[in-house]
Amino acid sequence: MQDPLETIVGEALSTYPVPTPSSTAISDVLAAGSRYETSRRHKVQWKKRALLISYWACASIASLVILLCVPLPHWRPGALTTWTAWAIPSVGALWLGRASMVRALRDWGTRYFAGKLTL
Amino acid sequence: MNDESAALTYVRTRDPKVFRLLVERYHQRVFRLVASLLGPHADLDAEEVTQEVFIRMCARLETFRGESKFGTWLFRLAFNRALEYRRHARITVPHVSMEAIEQLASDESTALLDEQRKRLVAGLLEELPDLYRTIINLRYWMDYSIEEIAEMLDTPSGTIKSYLFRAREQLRALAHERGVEFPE
Repeated sequence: MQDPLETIVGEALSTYPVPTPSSTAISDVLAAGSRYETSRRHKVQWKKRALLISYWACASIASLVILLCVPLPHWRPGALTTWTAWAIPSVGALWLGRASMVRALRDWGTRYFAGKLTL
Repeated sequence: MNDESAALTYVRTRDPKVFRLLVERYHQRVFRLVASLLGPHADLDAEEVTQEVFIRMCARLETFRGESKFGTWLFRLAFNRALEYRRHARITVPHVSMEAIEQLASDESTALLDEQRKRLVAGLLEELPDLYRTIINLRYWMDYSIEEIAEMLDTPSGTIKSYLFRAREQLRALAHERGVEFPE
């Protein structure tokens, strides 16, 4: 048996039209989503760059300190050439960042060739 | 593509086509859930909140593991956002004067009093707990079935029925406090 209050509530609420989203609502959401995605991507890129730069700076300083302080065999201060000062942190950076670099290259390749194919 | 795999694909690829697919599938239901929580006096805000829900979805989709239904996850997000909005926003409800309530308590014969009764009910609904008000609005305003509400709120149908019963009892008690008796 129906509760009479159900009818009263139903009648009271029926005086308000059931809301419907405006015709542009979906396109507004899509535009807002696209703006959000652009800014998110931008933030991620800057974060990656900042991390890479700080890593590079730390690695360079650390390798310089090691080269100057650790008495390696057959090493003298004059052995620190421009080449070794760059090569050691570079090899370190490449080794540590190899996985993310391969992933970035693969993503770039996928996007590049997908773009080529759609053209 | 089902909703769960579409959501997981979007996390991986951030493809705008997948985002569009999810928005088109869920926009109407999210909008109605938000509108039913905000009430009939805030339908303009519902659109704004719905948009925020989808942006929040983009930001938090990485926490969706695909273990539950995507719809359940999204409706929970929408419910929480609408609740947050309602708590911070000042939603105005129609004022029902004490004279009108007294008149309603003494005589129930005219169409004018009927109108006042409707306004009183709408005002009392605003005093119900959020969950009860949402369920009442979904059921009697949006005309959703018990099963649809149960799916939306990820709650068994029996529990929804019991919430509806308790909401009506609470409404009756609130009216009684004001000296208005609703038929049993």
